[in-house]
Amino acid sequence: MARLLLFSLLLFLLVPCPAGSTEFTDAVGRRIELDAPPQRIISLAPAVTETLYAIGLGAKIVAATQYCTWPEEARQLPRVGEYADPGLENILLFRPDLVIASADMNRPALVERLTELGIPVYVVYPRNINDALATIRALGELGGNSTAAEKLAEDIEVRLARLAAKLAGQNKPGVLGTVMLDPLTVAGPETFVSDIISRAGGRNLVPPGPSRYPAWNDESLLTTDPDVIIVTNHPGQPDPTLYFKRWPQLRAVQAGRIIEINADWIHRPGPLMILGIETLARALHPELDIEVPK
Amino acid sequence: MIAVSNLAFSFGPKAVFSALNLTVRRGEILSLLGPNGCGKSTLLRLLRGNLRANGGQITWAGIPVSEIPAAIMARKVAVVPQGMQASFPFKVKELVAMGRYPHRKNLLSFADREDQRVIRRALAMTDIIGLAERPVTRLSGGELQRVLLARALAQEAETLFLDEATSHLDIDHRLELSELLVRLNRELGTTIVQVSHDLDLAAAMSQRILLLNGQGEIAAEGAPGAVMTAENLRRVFRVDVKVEENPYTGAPQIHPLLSGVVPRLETAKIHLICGGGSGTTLLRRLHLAAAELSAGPLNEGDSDEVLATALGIPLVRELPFSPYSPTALEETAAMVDRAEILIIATQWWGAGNLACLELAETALKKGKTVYLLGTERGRDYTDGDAEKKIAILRGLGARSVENEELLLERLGRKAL
Amino acid sequence: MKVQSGAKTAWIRRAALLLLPLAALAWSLAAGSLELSWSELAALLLQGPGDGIEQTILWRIRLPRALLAALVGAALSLSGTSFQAVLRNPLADPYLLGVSGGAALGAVAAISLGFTAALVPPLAAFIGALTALALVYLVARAHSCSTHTLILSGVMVGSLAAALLLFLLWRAPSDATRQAVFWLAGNLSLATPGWLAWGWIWVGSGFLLLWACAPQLDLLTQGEESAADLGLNVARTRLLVFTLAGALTACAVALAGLVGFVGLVIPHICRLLWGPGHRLLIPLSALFGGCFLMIADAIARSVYAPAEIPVGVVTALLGAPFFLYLLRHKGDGL
Repeated sequence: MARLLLFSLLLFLLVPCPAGSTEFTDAVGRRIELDAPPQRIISLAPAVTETLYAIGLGAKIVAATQYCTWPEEARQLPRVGEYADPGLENILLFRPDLVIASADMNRPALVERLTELGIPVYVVYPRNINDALATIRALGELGGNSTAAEKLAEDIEVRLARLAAKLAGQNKPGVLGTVMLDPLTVAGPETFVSDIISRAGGRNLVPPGPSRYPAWNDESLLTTDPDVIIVTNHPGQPDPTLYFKRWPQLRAVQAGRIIEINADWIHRPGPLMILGIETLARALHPELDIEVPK
Repeated sequence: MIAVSNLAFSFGPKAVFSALNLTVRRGEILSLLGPNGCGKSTLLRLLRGNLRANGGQITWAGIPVSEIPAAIMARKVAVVPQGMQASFPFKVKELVAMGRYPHRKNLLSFADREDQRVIRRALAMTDIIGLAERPVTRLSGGELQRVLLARALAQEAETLFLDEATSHLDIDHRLELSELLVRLNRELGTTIVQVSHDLDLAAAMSQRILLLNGQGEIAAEGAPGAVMTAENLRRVFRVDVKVEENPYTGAPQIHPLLSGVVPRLETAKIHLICGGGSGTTLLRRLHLAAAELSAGPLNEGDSDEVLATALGIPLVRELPFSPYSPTALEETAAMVDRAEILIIATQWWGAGNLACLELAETALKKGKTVYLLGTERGRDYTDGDAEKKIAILRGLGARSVENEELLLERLGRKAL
Repeated sequence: MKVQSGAKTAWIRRAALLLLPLAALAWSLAAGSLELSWSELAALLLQGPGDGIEQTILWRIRLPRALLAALVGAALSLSGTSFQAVLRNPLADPYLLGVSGGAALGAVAAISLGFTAALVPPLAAFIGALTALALVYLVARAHSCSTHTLILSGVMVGSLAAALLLFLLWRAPSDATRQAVFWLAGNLSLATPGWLAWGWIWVGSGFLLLWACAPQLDLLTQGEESAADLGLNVARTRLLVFTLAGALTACAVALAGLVGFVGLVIPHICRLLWGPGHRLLIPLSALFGGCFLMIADAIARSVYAPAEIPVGVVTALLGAPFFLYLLRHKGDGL
């Protein structure tokens, strides 16, 4: 009798999930279980917030970071801090049933602590466009709205394919993607921006190196002499036009090809990235008359 | 040449000098002697203005020391410091050349051709020409002291201050250096003021000696023969010495009497009744003298109890702040029985410890020797009972001894 | 000690001294993203400045930068030498007495308040460095500026500045943080060439004044009391040397951020090689420090070109093993 009891107990423990619960594996290989589609989500990354809104799950977000600024409703969300260090207590106060974190931005220790406290944490880690598309689909399944997610992903894929067809056979201008100007920091080949550049029909001129976002000096800039320089506007940064005007020898300066693009479109692996790609493609290949939907 | 009047100086709350008067005469050799911590080195610093006095006045040829700039002072007096630790590897000749700084003419260097001659002579006089190229970090303590002397000589000042400058030297170099100083004094008229621990050497070379006691007062001053007396030295250094005249030089020569410092009392069996710190000195000294010692009764936490416990002396303990109980007194009586000598160091009497005097009476009747420490009347809180008892004890043959030193001396004599 | 004697080694040393700055400058001009062979370099130098990309890089980027490296290296090394002598402490470096903390705080405060125009952070760093030094000096003066009090109050002022700095960085937006950190790590690419001339005048006069203090510095190494006994006005000399060394450090920090290691170790290396006498030590440590930083910067620019690694990493990687080697063989020289 005792043996039977023990056996059934073991059996009970071995059963992976009780009826109704679903298991997910996140981008860093962690497994989480959800009994039902989450109703109280905290998003710790702007791209995740954007995606959730785009697939109709915005109403389920109870809090986000202070950098979550799109769409307009997202600005009204309660804040749990910056993504580098959202307050643990802050997060708990919102009684979330799911926290979505980003492997790029949140420290593993935070994920660990939240898991210890019994809060399911799903970690996303999109490093390129394909990852970002997969993340959109994964978030759809996670939130119980795969249909909308699938539609969003497919829509982006269609636009990407259309763009690729147009760009086929075109020459690829050399591009330097800057992240900030003071100090001059550029996007290396292993970055999301780099994938944006190549999808837009450009060639990232930054060679592989020890740092993904290396610091460059004026000499590197002059030696590389890119056809196009991408800049993003930040408060507290020098005016890009004035900054590059110091070196009129540069081809990009002579041809007026210092392109300013909304930083959120090219740095965030969310639904807006397609806008970044299309805008950049249009700037890189003005002769092709690429359309960018409003 | 240097006149000090009413000098007062203190390190924080600790007064070093309160009203010191002294003069240093041009062309003399003056030695400052005294126990550790009496302020000899401090006095040298005050004299040359390195320390500011709190009161009184120090003048050099009538000019207050505080008004003499460092650069001028360095031409008046050169200092040989106590051996310091060299931390930068200057060559010996470079270090000696620094002595030329007060005479410097060239902006960038210490020494021109004329200076080089002075430097070489200083090296020669101190017997370190062979070390000239050696880094000072690689010298022995004695070698370094000679280098520092050479640097002071290179300064060509009319006065030389030596602050225990010979303490690290071998006997031959110490004598040689003394001779050198005497010669400088005789031939160039250099005034020399030295702080020393070497009483013999100081007595031999000085024209005048200033003996400071532990309170920073002048205990004696004058010619070596007049100052270096056994009486003076015992007063200042608390050791018994014998002073003889050196048959060759006529200078006083000091022989410490080692037996006077720690008598040997291995055979003596002593019980000590004390308390409240009255037994501190005796407990320590008798312990050092290897006497078979016991003590008590003592209240726990009493300073004498703490000391006796630390020294491992067998003792009878009583509860803190309590009168001595019959049990404690019985135990003590047993201890006194085993001893041959009973010393009563206790200085005040009350109802709680009066019984100790009865113990002493019993001991006297059993033929033991009893010493009463201190001749002055102790404090009596027993309406004269204690005083009467003590009178009885005296009548029975108890001996009063003035202080610990005399008691130890008597015990030592008895033991021999 | 075999290095000490022998006409041959003395000759080598003298020749090395003459060739070192030229070699360092040549290397610094040849190294970088754009690879130049020695003959190309020679040709470009003979051509003079011009509009071509190579000429622009050589004359408008590399030459000012090499001169800046020489200037900063010399300033740090000089002030390290002086601080070590005055404080009689082998661990003293230009940043010890709160100078780095003050400079960093000044610069980061300017950056985080949004004053990011090219001129402001360096100026703020300069002011911060001198303010910290003055504070340290005023505190220590209450105890007649004993070296221990100076070092302790320096460390305290440094910690205080560091705490304020961390607070500023914590509340600054991430761009400003990166800017600040980049600056704190030391970087020679930030200074505008226009500053170079002023820097040279500043460092040049600091050097001459310190050199004129060489005998006084020698005396200070003997300790306060001995120095005073030898006729030195210790308090005044120390204040003078402090001000000079502090001004040199502040200048270096303003031009290049916190470049570590040079000011700590180059003086030691020079002392091991040429002895502790400041008449030689002052010019040689300036020379050696300048050359060292030129070479280190050339390496920092070229190893992962076109990316640049922090020059402080290179100075430590180059200098520490050399210093350890010297310690092993001539260790008692410290």
